Amino acid sequence: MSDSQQVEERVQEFSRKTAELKTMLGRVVVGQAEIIDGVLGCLLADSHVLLEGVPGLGKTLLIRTLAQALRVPFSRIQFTPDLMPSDILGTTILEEGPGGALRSEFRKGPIFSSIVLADEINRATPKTQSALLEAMQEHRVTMAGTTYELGSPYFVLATQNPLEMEGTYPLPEAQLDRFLMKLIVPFPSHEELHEILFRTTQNGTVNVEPVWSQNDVLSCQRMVRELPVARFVKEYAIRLLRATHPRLEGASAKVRRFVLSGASPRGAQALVLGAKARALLSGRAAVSIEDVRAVALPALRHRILLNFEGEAEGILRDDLILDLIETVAVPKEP
Amino acid sequence: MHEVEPRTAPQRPGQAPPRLVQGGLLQDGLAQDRGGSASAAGLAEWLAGPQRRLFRLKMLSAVPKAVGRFVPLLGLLVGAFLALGQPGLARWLLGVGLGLLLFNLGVVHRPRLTRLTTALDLDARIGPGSALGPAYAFSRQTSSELGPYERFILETELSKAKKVKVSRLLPLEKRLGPWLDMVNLLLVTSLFFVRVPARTIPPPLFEPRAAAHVPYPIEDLRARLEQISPKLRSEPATESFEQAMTTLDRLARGESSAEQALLALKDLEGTIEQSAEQAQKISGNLEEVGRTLERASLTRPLGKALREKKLEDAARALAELEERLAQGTARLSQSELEKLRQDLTRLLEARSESAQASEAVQASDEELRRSLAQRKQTLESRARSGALSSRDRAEKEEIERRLATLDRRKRTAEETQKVESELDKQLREAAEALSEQAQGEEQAAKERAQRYAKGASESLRQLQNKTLTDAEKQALLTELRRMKQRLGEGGPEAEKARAALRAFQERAGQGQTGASKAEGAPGAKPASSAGRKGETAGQGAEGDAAEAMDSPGERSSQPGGGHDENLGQEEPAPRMATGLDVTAAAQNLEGESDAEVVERAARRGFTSPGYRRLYLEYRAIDEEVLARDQVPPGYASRVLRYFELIEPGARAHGAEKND
Repeated sequence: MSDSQQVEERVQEFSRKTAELKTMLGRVVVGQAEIIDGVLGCLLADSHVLLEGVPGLGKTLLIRTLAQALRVPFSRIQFTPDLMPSDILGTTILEEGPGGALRSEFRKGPIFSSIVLADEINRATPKTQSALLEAMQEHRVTMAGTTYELGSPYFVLATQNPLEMEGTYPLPEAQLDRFLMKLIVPFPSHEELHEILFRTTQNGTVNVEPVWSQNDVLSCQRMVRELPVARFVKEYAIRLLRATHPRLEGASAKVRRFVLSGASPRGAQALVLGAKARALLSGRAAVSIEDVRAVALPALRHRILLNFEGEAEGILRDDLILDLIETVAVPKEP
Repeated sequence: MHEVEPRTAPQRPGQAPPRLVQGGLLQDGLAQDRGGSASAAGLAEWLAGPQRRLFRLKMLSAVPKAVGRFVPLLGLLVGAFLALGQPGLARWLLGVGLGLLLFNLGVVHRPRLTRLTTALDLDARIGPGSALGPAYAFSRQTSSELGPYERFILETELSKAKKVKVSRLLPLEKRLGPWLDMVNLLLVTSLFFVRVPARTIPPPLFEPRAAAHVPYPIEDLRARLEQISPKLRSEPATESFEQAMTTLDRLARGESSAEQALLALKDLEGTIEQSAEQAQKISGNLEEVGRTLERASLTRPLGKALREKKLEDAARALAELEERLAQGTARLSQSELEKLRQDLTRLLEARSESAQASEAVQASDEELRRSLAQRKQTLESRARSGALSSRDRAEKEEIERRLATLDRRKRTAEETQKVESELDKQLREAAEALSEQAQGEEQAAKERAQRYAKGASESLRQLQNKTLTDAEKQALLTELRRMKQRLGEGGPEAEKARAALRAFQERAGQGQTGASKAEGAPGAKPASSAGRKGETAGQGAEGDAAEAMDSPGERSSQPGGGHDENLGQEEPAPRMATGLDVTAAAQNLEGESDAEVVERAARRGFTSPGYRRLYLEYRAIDEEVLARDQVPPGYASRVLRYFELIEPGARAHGAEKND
């Protein structure tokens, strides 16, 4: 079997498996195809996702269903203002040993799972929120001088409600930056609402069967990493990223006027990884500029900081990014 | 405690992909390079064709952008120039416009199409799934840099690309659009070949280039002046004539310039016009007398002859009347006698008012003469002290010339006055004779009437010899203008005259552009006209303009009819008087302003005494300005022509000519 045939087979297998996973998710979640693709993209890119949407749109349901379908450890943390870091990370307790001697033992918190749902993450205090920082970036937790690995895959899905701002603590920039994408969960369409009502107001439950093993997740994540990206595509991603910085060359007039700070280099990583995942989810081995454009909004929207004028004028970050997609030139040389 | 699992290092170009987890979803362990470089070369080669094709199509698509609003504007301008009879300018503009268009198309809007952009363009047209862009990018890597994924992409895309028909990727209307634009462009370009009939330019009376080889046409001018001399009957005219002849002689000897000769001819022209004007005035008076005499049966033939300005017939009728009076056969009824006497008395009163108007004009002239004499004295005293500048010298010469002109005008007016006073005297005698006859003193009346008739007959004979008829005046003026034209255009002074023309154009605000400035339209066809052929190529526009005004037979008798169209394009800027200030005071006996006089003349006819006086004033100013400034002959003759057209009675005269 030639190289090409092998790659073709792998790509086809990947497509088949993702299709299977999507089908399983589709049994429970109605619609939200883009959100499912986005969440899967983040999972396959070995990163994390922030879901924003009003209550009742199925965010938690989606994540719980995904965890069931993947057959990996799953934990859910409901963030509240009185939640302490130790409630997430775990705590050291004194235990009586066999000889009656006391010894300290670390009891792992809910963060020690493969898939962690941080529900309403903006309701916890910044101190608690920051407890997630190391875990999300380094995939490990340090407690009392001891480092604990979190294992692979490790996937944090956080949700937040954009409406109820009272008693909330907006995520700091450093924390936001650790999410590969910020997905805005749309309101279901008319037909989708019919389907939701049909599924949830009658007797009967839907069984979600695990379709992916932990190894499947890991191999898919590696495949995403293996996928080559042409230099001009990366060049485009870099141009797009630089264009978000008001003080760098290539920034549009709007960006110069309304943006305080642009996306960090993690933004470029998010663009390329997101584009790779999207290409594979579409059954392609070649990452194109269109893939980068398609993930630009969720990958960059939470990394751009508006200045006072931008906030006062009600400028939407999405509009700024769409402008950049229109104006940033595609490289002419490979 | 979990162990830290080493994470897979990122793949480097040329490095084999990392092995996947055993027993996982996908198998790893891809084989080594097999034919990747061949696919890379094949894809690059294949892209060359679509690149050329896309370049052509994009180039055509760029035509509307490059053309934009440019071609309609260009077409409009070219059309406008063609309509204005300026094919040379239209060609020039079209050439420049097409050059700019090609620059716009070839440089500004030229599609920058690389192989990568070609591949990306094709990807966009083919739709999702096409990855020619990334494939081409991988094809640029060396064989060792190509991993299994890159080779897979290359091979897949090459095989898909070979099935693509690039020509079908563009919709038909998009392909036709540029061609339609090209057709439009060709239509506009075809305007270039449209032949607009060239304007018929009247053949030049004097060929400037031919004239340039003749030093001075002095002998010819002298001969022409000699022909004119018998017609010059008044003393001032004879004096001007002699002065002109002297100046020409001096010019022949090199002691005088062509400009001075031109001024002398201009003086002669002015004097002739003045004499003719005075003669017209006398003729008008005689007409009024004739109209009065026509009312009585006895003097009707005489009155009719006078009214019709047939002086010979009038003299004959007077002789017959004298004879009849001597024989005693001439008789009138009492009522007829009384009526005729009253008419003659009224006529005398009217003439007295007219004489007062003439005196007012003379007083104005006298005032001007005094002021000029005063200025002359100042300049002379300055000359004696040695502080006379060249400008002062020129001013002094000018003042002397104007004083001479005023002298001649005064003498002409005196001559006219003399004739008019003689006429008045005879009228008075006639009125008295009629009065005596009415009172029954027939013998005395008969003797007085005989005296009157004899005197009047003699006066008419003298008048006939002295005055110029209109036809004579026109012939003389035309001849003089031809001479001036010839003197101004020929000889080595021609270049100087052209320089003066250019300076005049600049001062008059005609600008540096425009047809009147052009040294002849390039590519103009030789113009021909009946009886005479003149090559107009390369001919200076100033020559044409002057010729259009001065050539006999081409000149319109209607006011404004003789204007050159070339010079109507841009109105000259108003000029400020320099040097000597010329004032035109509102002096008229009716107490009207000049504007009112002209307005009244426009309503009631251009023959009123007020209008005549105003015309004379303006004419004097015109002459002074023309004499003071170096006005080129073509323009000077135009000004003269204008004044000729607005001279008192000119409209009626023109109408008669047309009839």
